[in-house]
Amino acid sequence: MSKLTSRRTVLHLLTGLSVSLLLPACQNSTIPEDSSPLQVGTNVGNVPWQLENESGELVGFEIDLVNIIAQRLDREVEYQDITFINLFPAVLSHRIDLAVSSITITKSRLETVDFTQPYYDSDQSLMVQSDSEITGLTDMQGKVVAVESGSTADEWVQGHQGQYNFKEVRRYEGLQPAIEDLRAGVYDGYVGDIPAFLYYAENNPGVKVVERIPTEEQYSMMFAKGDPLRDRINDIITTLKQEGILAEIHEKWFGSPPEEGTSTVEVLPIPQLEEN
Amino acid sequence: MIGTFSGLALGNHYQEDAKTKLEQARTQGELLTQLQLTARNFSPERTFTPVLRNTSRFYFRREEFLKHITEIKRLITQLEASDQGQENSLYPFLNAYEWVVNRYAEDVTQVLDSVNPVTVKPSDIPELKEKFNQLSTSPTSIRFHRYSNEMSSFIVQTNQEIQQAEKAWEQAETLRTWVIIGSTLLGAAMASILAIMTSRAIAHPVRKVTQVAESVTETGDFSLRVPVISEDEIGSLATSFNQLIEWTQDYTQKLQKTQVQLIQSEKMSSLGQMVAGLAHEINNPINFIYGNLRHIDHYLDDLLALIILYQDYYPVPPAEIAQQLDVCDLEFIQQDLPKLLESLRVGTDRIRQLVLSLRSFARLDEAEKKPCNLHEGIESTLLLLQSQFPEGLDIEKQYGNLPEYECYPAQLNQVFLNLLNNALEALMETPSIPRKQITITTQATEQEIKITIGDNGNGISPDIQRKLFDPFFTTKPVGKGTGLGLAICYQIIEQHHGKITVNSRLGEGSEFMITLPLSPRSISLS
Repeated sequence: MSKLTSRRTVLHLLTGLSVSLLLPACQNSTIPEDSSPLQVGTNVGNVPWQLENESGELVGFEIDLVNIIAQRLDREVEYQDITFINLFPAVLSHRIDLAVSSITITKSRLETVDFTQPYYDSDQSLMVQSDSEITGLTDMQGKVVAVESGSTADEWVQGHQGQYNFKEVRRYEGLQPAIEDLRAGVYDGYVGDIPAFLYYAENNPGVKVVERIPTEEQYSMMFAKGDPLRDRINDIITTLKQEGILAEIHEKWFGSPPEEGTSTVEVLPIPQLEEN
Repeated sequence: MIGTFSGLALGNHYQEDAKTKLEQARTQGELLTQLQLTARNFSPERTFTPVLRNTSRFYFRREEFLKHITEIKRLITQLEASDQGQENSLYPFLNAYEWVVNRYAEDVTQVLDSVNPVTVKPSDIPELKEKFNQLSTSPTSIRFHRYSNEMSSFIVQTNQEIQQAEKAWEQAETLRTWVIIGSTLLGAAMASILAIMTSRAIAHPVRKVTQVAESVTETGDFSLRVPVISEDEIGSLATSFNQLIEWTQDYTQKLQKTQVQLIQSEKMSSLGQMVAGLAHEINNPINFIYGNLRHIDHYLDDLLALIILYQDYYPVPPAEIAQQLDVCDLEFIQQDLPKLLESLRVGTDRIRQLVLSLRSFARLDEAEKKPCNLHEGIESTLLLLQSQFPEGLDIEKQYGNLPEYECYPAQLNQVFLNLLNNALEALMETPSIPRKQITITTQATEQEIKITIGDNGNGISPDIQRKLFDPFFTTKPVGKGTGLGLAICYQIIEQHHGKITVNSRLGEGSEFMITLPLSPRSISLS
C-alpha cells in the first residue's frame, strides 16, 4: 500500500511542478535597467565640458568622466543633445538618466532634482569683444547683457540687475549662437561660467574675458529626485577622485592639475537640501 | 482538470493585470494630452496686448487664463493621484512643473494686476506691450513652456505603455490558451504514463509469479522463488506463492520419504517374515538332528565296544568275516567316526546359531518397543554379513558396558546392517589397503549410548558428506543402490530421538556415530 501511496504523492508533485514551471514563464519579462544603455543628456558645444572635435566625435571633460563611469557600471552610453534649460524637465521626465553640462548645484535646483558630489569649483565671468572698451561689470551699466537661458548666470544677472542696472537681458540657448551675436555686436557683455569662457577665448579670436565674478559654484551631475543611480555614480566619482583619474581628466582639458582642496580632488558629501 | 483551472486562473490573473495597466496607461495618457493641450498656446502678449483697453474682453481673457491655470493644476493633481505606485514616476516632474506653473501664474498675474483697462491710455500701450514681451521671454515663462513641451515625452512613453499593456493583454490571452492546451495535454500524458505505470506495476510482478509457477511445474525445481520487490498486494501474493512452493517442496519430500519408508518397511517386513519362517522351518529339523546326534554318538560307542568285545572272544574270525573286515577297514572307522560325528555336531551347531541370528535380526515377534542388548544386534548382523567379509578383514570390537536399551530392535539392526554393509563396500572398493579394518566401538554415559562403526577405506569427500543422508542420494552405479540406506538410518535414529553423524577424511576412512539418548522420551513410529 505504501508503494501505491508514494506513487500518488509523486503524481501530485508532478502536477505541482508543471504548474510551477509554467508560472515563471508568465512573468513579465522586463529588461533589467542595468543592461540598457545609459541615457545622458548634455548641452553639446559647452566647451570644454562637451564638444564635437574636428572628426565630429563627442569629447570633453564631462564626456570623459561619463564614459569612465559607464565603463565601471558596465553599461553603454547614449548621448542626447539637449539645450541647457531643457535638461531639467528632461531629467525629471526620465527621458534621460542623468544630465551633465557644467551644472551648478543650487538650493532651488535641489528642491526638484538630485546631484552627486561636485567635481569642479567654478565662478562666473564677463566676456566681451576683444576690441571692446568694457573692462569690467561696472562698465556694463545701461548695456545689454546676455546669459544662457535658465543658467546660474541668468539667475545672477536677475539678482544683480539693481546693482549694475543692465539695460536689457538677452537669453541664449547654447554658447555658440551667443558668442556669434557677441562678435556681431548684438549685445555688449556675456556673463557665464569662467572655465568655458577662458577655454573658448584661448582657442578662438575676437573675444576676451575681462572679469571673474566670484560666485563659488560647484558643478555636478543631475538626476531625477530619488533615482538610486545617483548613489551608485556618486560612489564611482569618489573612487575616481581617490584614484586620481579626475585629476588626470582635469589636466587633459585645462593643461594643469587641479589645486589641492578643490572639489576635483576632495571626496565630498552628496549635496542635500538643508531642512531649515 | 487542475491544469485547466490553474490555466484559466493564471490567464485571468495576467489578463486582469494587463487590463489594470492598460486602463491606468490610458487614463494617464488622456490626462497628459489634456494637460499639454491646456498648457499649449499660453501667450500673454498675444492674448492681452490687443485687448488692453477693452475692459470686458480683458477681464474675460484674464478669467480664461486663470481658469486654464486652475485646470492645469487640477490635471497635475489628478496625474499625481493616478501616478502612485508607478515605476518611472511622473511625480518629480509634476512637482517641478507645479512649481513652475505657480511661478508662471504669479508672474503673469502680477503683470495683469498692474493693468487697469479702464484707465489705460493709448500712450501707455507700448510700455505695456514691452512688459508683456519681457514676460514672455522671462526664465519662468521659458521654463513653463519647456516643461509643458516635455510632457510630449511622457505622452510618447504612455503610448508605449499602452502598446505594452495591449501586448501583455494579448500575451495573457495566448498564455491562457496555451496553459489550458498544455495542461490538458500534460494531463492526458500523465494519465497515460500513470496507466502504463500502474498496469506495468501490476502486470510485471504477476507475470513473474506466473513464470515461476510455470517453471516450477515444468522442472519440478522447488528452489525457484518469486522475487518480492514490493510490500503491496502483489508483494504479498509473491510471498504467499513462495510460501506455497516451500510447503509443496516440504510435503513432496515428506511424501517421498514416507513412501520410501513404507516400501522399505514393507520389504523388511516380508523379508523378515520369510526369514522368520525359514528359521522356524529349519529350526525343527536341525533340532531333530542336533538332538539325535547325542544318541548316535552313544549308539556308535556301544556298537564299537560290542565289536571290540567280539574280537576279544573270537580272535580268529571265519574267513568271510575276515574278508569283510579288510574291506571295511574297521580300524579307520573306529578312528574316523567320532571325528565325523564331531564335525556333524559343529555343522548343526552353526546352523542353529544362524537360525537364531536370523530370528534375532528379523525380530518379528518384537514389533513393540522393548529393552534389548544392542551388542546382540550388532553381533547377529555381523554373523549375517560374515559370508561377505573380504579376506584378511580385521574386525576390531571395543564394546563398552551397555545397559539394556529400550528400542525397536529390528529397526536398529537394520541401521547396523546398513552401516556395516557400507563399511564393507568401502573396503571392497579399495583393494589396495593392506590391512582392512572395521572398528566397532560402543560406550555408554548416564545420558546416552554412543555406537561408532568405522572403516579405513577411502573416505568420503566433504561435498558428498552433506548430502549423505538425503533420500535417493547414492554414489553407487545405477541399479546397484537405492540411495535410501543412510536416509533410512537417519530416519530410524531420529525416531529414537537420537543423532547420526559422519566423520570422514579422504584417504583415511569414515566413521559413523550413532548417539542414542538413555531414558528416552516416547519413541514414535510414523
